[in-house]
Amino acid sequence: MRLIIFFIFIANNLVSSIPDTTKLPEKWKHESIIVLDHVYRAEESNFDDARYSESIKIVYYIRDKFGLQQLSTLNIPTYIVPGAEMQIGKIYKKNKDVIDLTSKYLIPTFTKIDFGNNRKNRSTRFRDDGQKLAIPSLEVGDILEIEYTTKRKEAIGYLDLSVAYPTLHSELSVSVLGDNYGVASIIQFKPINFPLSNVESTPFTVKVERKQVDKILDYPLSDENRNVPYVLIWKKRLNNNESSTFNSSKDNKYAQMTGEELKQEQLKFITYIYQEEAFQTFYANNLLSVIDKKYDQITDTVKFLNDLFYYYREYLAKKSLTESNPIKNIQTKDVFFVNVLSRILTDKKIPYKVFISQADYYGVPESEKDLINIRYGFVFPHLQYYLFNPYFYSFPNKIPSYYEDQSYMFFKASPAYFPSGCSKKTCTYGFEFATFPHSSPEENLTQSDIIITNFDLNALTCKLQATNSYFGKNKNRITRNICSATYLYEKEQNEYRSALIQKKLFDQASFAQLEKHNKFLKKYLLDDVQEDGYDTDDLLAYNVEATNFFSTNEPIITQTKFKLKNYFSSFDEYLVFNIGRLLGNQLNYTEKEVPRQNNFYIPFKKKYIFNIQFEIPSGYRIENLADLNSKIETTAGKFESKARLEGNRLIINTEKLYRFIDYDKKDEKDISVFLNLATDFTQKKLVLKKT
Amino acid sequence: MAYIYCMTYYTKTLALILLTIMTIQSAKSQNKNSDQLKNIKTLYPDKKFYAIKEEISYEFDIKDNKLNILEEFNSILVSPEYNNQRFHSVFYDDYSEVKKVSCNAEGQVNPQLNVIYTNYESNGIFHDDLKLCAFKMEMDKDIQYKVKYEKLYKNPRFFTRVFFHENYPIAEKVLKFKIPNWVNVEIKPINFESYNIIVETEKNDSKNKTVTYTIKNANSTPNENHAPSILKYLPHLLIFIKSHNNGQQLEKYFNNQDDVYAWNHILSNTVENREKELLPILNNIIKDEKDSLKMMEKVFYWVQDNVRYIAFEEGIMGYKPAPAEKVCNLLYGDCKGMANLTKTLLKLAGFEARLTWIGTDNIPYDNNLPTLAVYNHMICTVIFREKKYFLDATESYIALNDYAERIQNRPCMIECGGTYLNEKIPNLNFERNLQEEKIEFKIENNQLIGKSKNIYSGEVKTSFLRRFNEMRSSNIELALKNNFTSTNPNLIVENIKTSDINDRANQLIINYDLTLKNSIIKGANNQLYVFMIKDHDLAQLYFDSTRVCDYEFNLKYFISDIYSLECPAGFKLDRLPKTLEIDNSIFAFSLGYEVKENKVTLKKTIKIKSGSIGKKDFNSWNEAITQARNFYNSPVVLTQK
Repeated sequence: MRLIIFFIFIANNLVSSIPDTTKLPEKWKHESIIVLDHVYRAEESNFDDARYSESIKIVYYIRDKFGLQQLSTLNIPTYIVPGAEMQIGKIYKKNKDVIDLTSKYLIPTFTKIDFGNNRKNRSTRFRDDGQKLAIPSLEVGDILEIEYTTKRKEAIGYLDLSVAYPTLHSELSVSVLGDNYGVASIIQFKPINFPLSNVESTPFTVKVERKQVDKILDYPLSDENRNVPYVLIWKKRLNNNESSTFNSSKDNKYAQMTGEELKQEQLKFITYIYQEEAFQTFYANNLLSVIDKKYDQITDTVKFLNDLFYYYREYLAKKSLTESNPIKNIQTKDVFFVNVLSRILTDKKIPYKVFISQADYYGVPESEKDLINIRYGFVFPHLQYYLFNPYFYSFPNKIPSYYEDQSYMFFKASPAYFPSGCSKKTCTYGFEFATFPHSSPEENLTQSDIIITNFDLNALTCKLQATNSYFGKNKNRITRNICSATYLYEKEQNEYRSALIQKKLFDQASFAQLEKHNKFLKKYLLDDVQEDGYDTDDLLAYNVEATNFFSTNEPIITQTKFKLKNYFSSFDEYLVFNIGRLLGNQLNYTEKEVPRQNNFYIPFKKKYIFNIQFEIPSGYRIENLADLNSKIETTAGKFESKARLEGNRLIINTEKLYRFIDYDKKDEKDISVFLNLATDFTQKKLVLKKT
Repeated sequence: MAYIYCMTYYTKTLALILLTIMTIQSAKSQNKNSDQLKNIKTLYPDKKFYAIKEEISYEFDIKDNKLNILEEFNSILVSPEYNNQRFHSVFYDDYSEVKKVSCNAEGQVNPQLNVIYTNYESNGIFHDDLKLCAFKMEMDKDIQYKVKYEKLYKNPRFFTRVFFHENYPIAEKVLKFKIPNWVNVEIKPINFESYNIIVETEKNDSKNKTVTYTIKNANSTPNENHAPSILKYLPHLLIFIKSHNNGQQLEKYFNNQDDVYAWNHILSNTVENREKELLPILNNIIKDEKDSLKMMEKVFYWVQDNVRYIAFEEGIMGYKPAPAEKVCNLLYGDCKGMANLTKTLLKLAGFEARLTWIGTDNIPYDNNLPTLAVYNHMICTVIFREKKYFLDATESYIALNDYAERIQNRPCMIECGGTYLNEKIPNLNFERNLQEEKIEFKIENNQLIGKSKNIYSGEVKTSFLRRFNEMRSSNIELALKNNFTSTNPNLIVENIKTSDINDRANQLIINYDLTLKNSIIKGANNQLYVFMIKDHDLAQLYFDSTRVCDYEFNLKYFISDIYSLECPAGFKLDRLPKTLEIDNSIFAFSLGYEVKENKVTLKKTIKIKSGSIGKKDFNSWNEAITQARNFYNSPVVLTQK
């Protein structure tokens, strides 16, 4: 009955009059489509098996033929379940006629097969593209009003406030209905990237009404999730007495919280991760027996923790190679990692705390079962040391990028570790909160040492020798890329990983395996060199050095030597070398047509150094040394190039520094100036003249 | 009892012998497969999939008095990788169906195959006439997967072509046609010259014959950018089904081009265009225009501007145009719908307008072949004052009497009542696509600054007009600036002025002020090294030895740049880069400087004459572009007087 009343309510409210197009803002004069009105109303129900109702009305104003083309066929979004009730409303012609589109122009759901084309061509997938409508009789200047009602299976987790077209008026609301079993649902909400004051609420509804909403564009150096405005929505069951006194704005404690506070609050739902499982004990005991052979006594805890990390990872890698066991997916999870290692740490009497964190998710759960993306690991506060569940290219006491600057919590009460045998939902310990530190730019250094020699003035070639050293998170990335690229075959890829972990396995590799490894390594490095913009067909020499693969301070080093083409010209007594292009492709930060709306974000701070040694061809001198010196430094970053002569060599040192993780969009210039100086350097030419 | 025992003994023995023979044969077959796989992997390493053997057989049958062709596909596929996914897909349409799809891994329990039958969309264009049957294969290393399906062609007119190559290498591919004598079919081999394809004909009896084509070690179809259509270089078979005798009468299909025309013409004649409904629209388009040519132009441009090209077809609509008033109401249509609307509007306006069938430049066949495979496009031809105007309204922003590269020089079939006219679209030379830039440079603040005057013609103009008209921004000027500067960080552009952006009949003129950063280098002894060349055209196009296919440009190029520089006060010319002159039948580079009094003028002319470079010309191209790069990168040297 309530459902029927709700639909009558919706239907009455969606009745429209001819929309007004005379008061459009000047800033939208070039827009092809303007949405005059967007009304979205959704319902949350208490019935577990209920389908949630939504009604949507959108009034499009078609300004030009491009708008017309976009709306001549209309995709109905994928989230609508098949069988959605669709009514196309009206076309208001520019001559004031109104065409009532009574026919349904519904084309059945179709499936698109997306043949991806990435390096390993594995992104091929079936994709449901929803429903497609053909809308006849539209002309430029027309107003198209469409309405549809749908049902969806999932609860509405959030209201997305971003718009596809500039929108004159937008009203989005979600209501919650009680049921007939003495239990009422109260709606709760939390605006993210959006002011709380702009949300209206009652105990049963949340409504956001906005005027003149601009669309959000994609910008470089940003993360959409950190900028798109939305309102988290969830319902909370109360008894009838409570519901009658519930004041949404006062009693909804979450609404007032900052995103960080909210995240911490929701982590409190976690009270239990310890599970006594036979296979965990089995793994822990096996690992312990390996460790006990190496350690009679622990004198250096940090060294022991480093080794423990390596042993665990090596053991994990071996297990995944040698065993086809049903728990192989479980064993890589954080819960498994924490459970196995906590047994060993307890045995060795090393005090630790288990951290709980959540990467980039603000969803508010009703219970711990709703939590997603929860991560666990170890903190050793007295050592300022962290242990994260290892993946193949991570290091002990190095914080993965998705944790940097993220908050975490740990149990305050003693014992410091998770209490064995604590049953689910009975642990009531307090929490402490802290924030993971971030790495410095220097820790994520990429250093390229380039030597240019052997000019052949007839063939217009020279030799380039590049030694690239990757540290920190760049080391992780490059190692992962090399491991993925050097073997097409997954099994051998795993073997290669193991080889890096345990060198003797690599030494035991067959000639055919090594040959294959070298072939793919060469291809990877050649592709890498070519992607950097160097013009060459082949590598004269190549190598990868990772003498201490797990060292936190030692880099992975790639070395390549090749004949470089198309970098210089020669005529008469002159030689012109495109010296700036040795820096490869640099981001050119150009002014966009619409001012930047998103704040800047990169996952971690980083630094790039180029040390170029240019052997001046015999009989030539450099004409423009001073051109190669430049420097811009801001609070966001820095680019600097310095050039000097040392005997017959030109030495150029450049440094590009990203000092920020988050940066305010209003200070865009702090970022654009140093980025564009680096781009400008790539255009620098070196003129040499015969002496 | 003894008898029974004896029988059992003999049966057992026989079974044992049979089993042994089968095991030996199976082992032999497996060994053969293994050798073939090893061989094809060696020939074409690093591929994601291989077929050890693939056989497609075609059988003719009559059902309900209609000729059907049954295609039986059998392939043994292998992955060289673990955990390799493959989406095997088969296209079909309303005149064919795909059934009995199976995929079985050797020696494994095979789960039920989830086969999806769906419509197909590519590049945002929804094709209701083309459907896809697809299934996902989860493949493990070196396991043999037997893939089978049947495809039934229910209309012999649409069974036109068969290919040997797939997107994976095939050790042995067999195409087998079982042809009964009551079917008159011709199989025409295309592009067989460079391939070793064995053709065998076997007379099974007096009523049937089997024709088999076998190719060994066929590589996967190349996946290279700017490659020609595979129809131009890969071997395939054109199938001409001419007639069949169903025992009572002779059912005729396509014996010659006349039949192809007759079939198409009947289909297009069945379209009922409600011309009256179009009259108000026509009057609104042509208004008071009295000049016939202008009238034609207005109608042609109106359809270009207002009807969006979408292939939104169903069933026979893949071959039959949609009614003109329907396309006009929907404001979208496929090429046939747009051609029919153009024709209907122009006929209403009093022109002699006709539908015209054409194969675009992807199709290398002559149009006298008795098959629908010759045509993939429809336009409208107007015969006016004894001249033929070919109007392709799917080409937005193209002028009347101008023709897109893809239809130039292509044969076409123009409707002419009961008969037809064979014509060729004019072949416009590279000069049609002139892009000219003139800049007068001067040196200010150690940079080159100047005023640039650009002329765009032909395909260069139409593509710019499309790009410009798609710019939807509140700041068009900045969007336009970014269009010029996005690929050249040295370029700063201001004060852009264009000629009428809606005028597609004349050359497009664009003027702007420019600054060229990093263009002046001061030498140690006060020389000035001046880098005047703004665009290093085609400098990145270099062919390495791995390229398999010829290279096809999007258009024929004709670039003409003239940049001049007045020597600044106190300086004189010292050195100029050497002139480069290369001119052959494929391309030409003319790069050089001229000096008159105190003025240095760069003249840069580049021609890509036929719009493509064949593999045999790759070396000469590479040599030419190496010299061109050297010229681009060399400065004019000025010294102090």
